[in-house]
Amino acid sequence: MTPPAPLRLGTAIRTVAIALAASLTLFPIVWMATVSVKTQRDALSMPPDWIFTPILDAYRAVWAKAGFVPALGNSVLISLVALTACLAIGLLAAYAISRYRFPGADAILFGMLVTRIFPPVALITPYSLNLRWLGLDDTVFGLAIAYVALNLPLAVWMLKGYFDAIPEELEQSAMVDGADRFQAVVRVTLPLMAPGLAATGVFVFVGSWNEFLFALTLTSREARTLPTVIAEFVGDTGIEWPQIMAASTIALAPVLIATFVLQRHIAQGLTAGALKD
Amino acid sequence: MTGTVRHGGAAARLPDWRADARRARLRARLVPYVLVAPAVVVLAVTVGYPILFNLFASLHRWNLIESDLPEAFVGFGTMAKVLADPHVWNAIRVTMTITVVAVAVEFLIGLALALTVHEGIVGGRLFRTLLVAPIMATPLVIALVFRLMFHSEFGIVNHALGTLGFGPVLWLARPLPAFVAILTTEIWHNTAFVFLVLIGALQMLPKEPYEAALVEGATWVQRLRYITLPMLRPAILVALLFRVVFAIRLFDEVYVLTRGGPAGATETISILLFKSAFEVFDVAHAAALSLLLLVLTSGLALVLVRTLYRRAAA
Repeated sequence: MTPPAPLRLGTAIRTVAIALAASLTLFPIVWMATVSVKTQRDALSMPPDWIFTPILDAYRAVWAKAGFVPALGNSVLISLVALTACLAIGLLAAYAISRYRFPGADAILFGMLVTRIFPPVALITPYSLNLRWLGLDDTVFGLAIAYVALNLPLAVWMLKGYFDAIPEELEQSAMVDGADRFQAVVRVTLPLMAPGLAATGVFVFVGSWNEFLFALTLTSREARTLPTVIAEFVGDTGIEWPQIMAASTIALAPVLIATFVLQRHIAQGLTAGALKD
Repeated sequence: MTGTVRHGGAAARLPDWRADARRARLRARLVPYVLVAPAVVVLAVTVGYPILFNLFASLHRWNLIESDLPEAFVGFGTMAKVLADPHVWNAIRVTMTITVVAVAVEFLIGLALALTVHEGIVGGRLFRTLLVAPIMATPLVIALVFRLMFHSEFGIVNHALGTLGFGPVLWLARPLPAFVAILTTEIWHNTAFVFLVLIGALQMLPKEPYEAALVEGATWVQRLRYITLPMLRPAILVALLFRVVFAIRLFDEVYVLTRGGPAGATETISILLFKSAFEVFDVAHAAALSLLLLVLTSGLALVLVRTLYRRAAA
């Protein structure tokens, strides 16, 4: 750090402008958290009280609400299944595309990018009908299949980038020492790309955690996830906003933590590795 | 197995080790295909098959209220009906308008923020973190928060407008305000992405051109116009393309805020498709609409793949 220069006017103006933009950015999130610790009456009274005693009644009520805890469990479970499957299948494919030159490699890679560009809504009718015929509608497994499909291309693209960044020579020298290729990858390459592996996993997890359209159309009771039950709370007569905001806060908290932890990887992840850091 | 049989004759004439080596080479050549096979199979079943299914369904008359299975073959009749449907054209218009306006505003604000932060502010790292906060936020949750804020009676937005002397706006009940509410939600949510991509690119720009420009006495506007923007071009392209790709599929926010209303003013293609499949149960219509959507976005896909491929090759 250089010693603080005397604050110039330009820097001051820019800082104020950015602080204003940051407040606008944070406001909805703060508002959500604020309403979640108010009573319904306080939450809806305008002008709002900025000084008040926070209460956790809304959180207790939401937690006790039918369907909330199972949906939380389903969200965690489905996201973990999607994460595991995407990493396992994605690692194999990404390794092959990164390390071997073979006809069709480019076609596979770009085919995956294209499937990610197509709007997922174009798949909901076939998914809904076929899962029903297979008896997999409204099951955790059925929804997890959809989330693997939606997130696998991203996982392959990200993982390929991370493999590319690690020199193959490291694996080869381990192989000279007697390891076979699989051992070399597991012992040398994967530990080196652990941060990338973690970032990919978090992206797949958040992608599944946030998903609403497929959860809405492929589940009805048993396999409901967090976004779908929260949306249903709104359908109830007389919207209890503090409860909705409490449930929203619970859903959003892990995502915000992931955003904070993943900062360096986000641009790369969201653009499927199109931007190299 | 078949390989052994086919090469049996050659193996008899050649010393054994050469046949072994050839088999080993063949196996080595197969390794990458075995490794990508699971991914290709999964995508063929979960993406390829549904697209073919849509093609099949769109060629038949098929409403779930009447029948679980497709009825009469109608060829491109359903597709023709979809193309002649004013609701479809309305949805395309709404989706395109939201996409163009939202992405343009996100780009301008994102660029302005990135340039300002990059120019030098106090607490740059902290503010960068704060500005990026919405980037992965659950769309459904964001939509609910904005629905509360845009509430015509109890919403903070109308309260703020009231203190400025503007009457309450029925945000979600009138076409234009509903449109503005959805745009605001979308822009709030996704400006962070443009900002993040552009600030990352700005920080990687070489210093030399700026030093030369300083010597030449170039103004700030000239530096922006002739150095920064041209050098940012690839990053800008990536940011815009990805934003367009995701804006086109807008669903969650509209579903929560207006469900496409009032009177179709905010009915995006995704919402219309959802309704035709799960409210009207017209499988054929939904399938034809899906195909239309795929065709419309494949042009975009081509541009995106080309752009990224050029970057990857460079």
